[in-house]
Amino acid sequence: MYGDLSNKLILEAKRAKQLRETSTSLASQLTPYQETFVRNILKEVEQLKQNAIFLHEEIVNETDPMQLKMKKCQYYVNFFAMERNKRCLLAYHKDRSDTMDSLCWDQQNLILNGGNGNKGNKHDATTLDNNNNNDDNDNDNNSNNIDNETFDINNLSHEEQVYIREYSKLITSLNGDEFADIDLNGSLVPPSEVFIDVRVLKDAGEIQTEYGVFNLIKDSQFFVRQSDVERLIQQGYLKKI
Amino acid sequence: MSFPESLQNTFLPQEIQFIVENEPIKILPRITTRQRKQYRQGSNYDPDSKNSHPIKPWRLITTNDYNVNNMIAMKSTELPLWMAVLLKEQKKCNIIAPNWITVSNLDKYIDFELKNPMKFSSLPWNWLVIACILFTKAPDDLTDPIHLLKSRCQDLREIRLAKVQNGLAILNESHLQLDNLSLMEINEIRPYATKISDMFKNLHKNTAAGLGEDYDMHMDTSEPGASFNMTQNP
Repeated sequence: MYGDLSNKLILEAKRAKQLRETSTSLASQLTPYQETFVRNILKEVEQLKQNAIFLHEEIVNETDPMQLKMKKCQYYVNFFAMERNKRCLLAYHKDRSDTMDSLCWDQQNLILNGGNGNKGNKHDATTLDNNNNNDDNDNDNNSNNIDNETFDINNLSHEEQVYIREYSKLITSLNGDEFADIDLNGSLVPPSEVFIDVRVLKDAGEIQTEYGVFNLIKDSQFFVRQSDVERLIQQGYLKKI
Repeated sequence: MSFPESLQNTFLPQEIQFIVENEPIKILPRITTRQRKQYRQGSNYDPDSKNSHPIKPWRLITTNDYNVNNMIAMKSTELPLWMAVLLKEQKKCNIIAPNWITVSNLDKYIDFELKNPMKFSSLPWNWLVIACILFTKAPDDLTDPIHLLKSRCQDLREIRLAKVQNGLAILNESHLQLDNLSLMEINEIRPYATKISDMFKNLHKNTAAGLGEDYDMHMDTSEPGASFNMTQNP
């Protein structure tokens, strides 16, 4: 039946959504793009379109009112099948684009791992510096490929890769001019304490923040202003105590 | 999206605390910030000329800063809660606990709760948060022993929670009356209650429209609770 394929696609989207809600790791946030499903659905739509054109001609030429009624009914059913496919495709892609948007907002320096992960091909690693104007983390920190900040860009279709780049550019521009004083990507939890204790989880060497230099040695502890280290906590170098 | 889905329809507990922290509370400062006459005379404050005013008056953007600049040690004054907590942490003030945080008053509230199974007692809208903040940040400023207060508050919370759960049984498509329920308690039931009553509303609208002459499901012809009320006894 027409529409069965799109049903499968929607089930896939649902599964991805469930995965997103239950797991926190970035890798599971975006499941691989269902290229074959989408292609098959598009093929089906193409076929439906051929049907529609054929039926339309029939309707124009038909003279018998009874036959005309039947043909019109066929035409409508055909049309609804197309409509349903469209709905399912749009729902799937909207779901994915919403996920990509939230990834862009959550991850300060989203690293899109271009090469296949197992090849360890680091040349393809593309860095989306959402926030370099806010934080002076030098680039070798970003290309350290911290596990929870990378995810496979091959999971995205080509159009989605373009979209995610453009979208993060948009965010950067928004951060840049109008609201330069406010860090729009920052934490959404209201600040409660001015100074906090933090423990260093990962060796990161000397890191320059806007307000001074830290020497981040593993397992050392600092008593610092929260706003200074918020970024580092998000990136997983520090843990708040 | 820029705003995560989990935050779109409700507040985080931290956000509730943030809202409550803007409320004024009485304190007994241990420091004096009121300046002596000779400093205050040139009251037209000029940030550029620091020499003429050795002590800069503080300025707060968010709240009225008059009280902050006019504290006299051991004379009670009112500050926003966040500021009071900040000063308390540095041992620069004592917080005067609100009237209702005393064993006798809390007992009265508990009594009321027990005698009126259909009503909530008139605790302040922020009682849970205030109690929590005071218990953790200023336990030495409370007039009664803290373990008694804590147990009273816990009792109150449990009684009220039970009532809330009973109240959810009469959830319907038009309205719900929640007098004297505090912000935190409302926040807890918000996602559940609004979702269910939305569903009721849709159901009600559709059944009412379907029963009438008009078979168009999309048309909104019925007023909630006007003629046919199916959701009252499901």
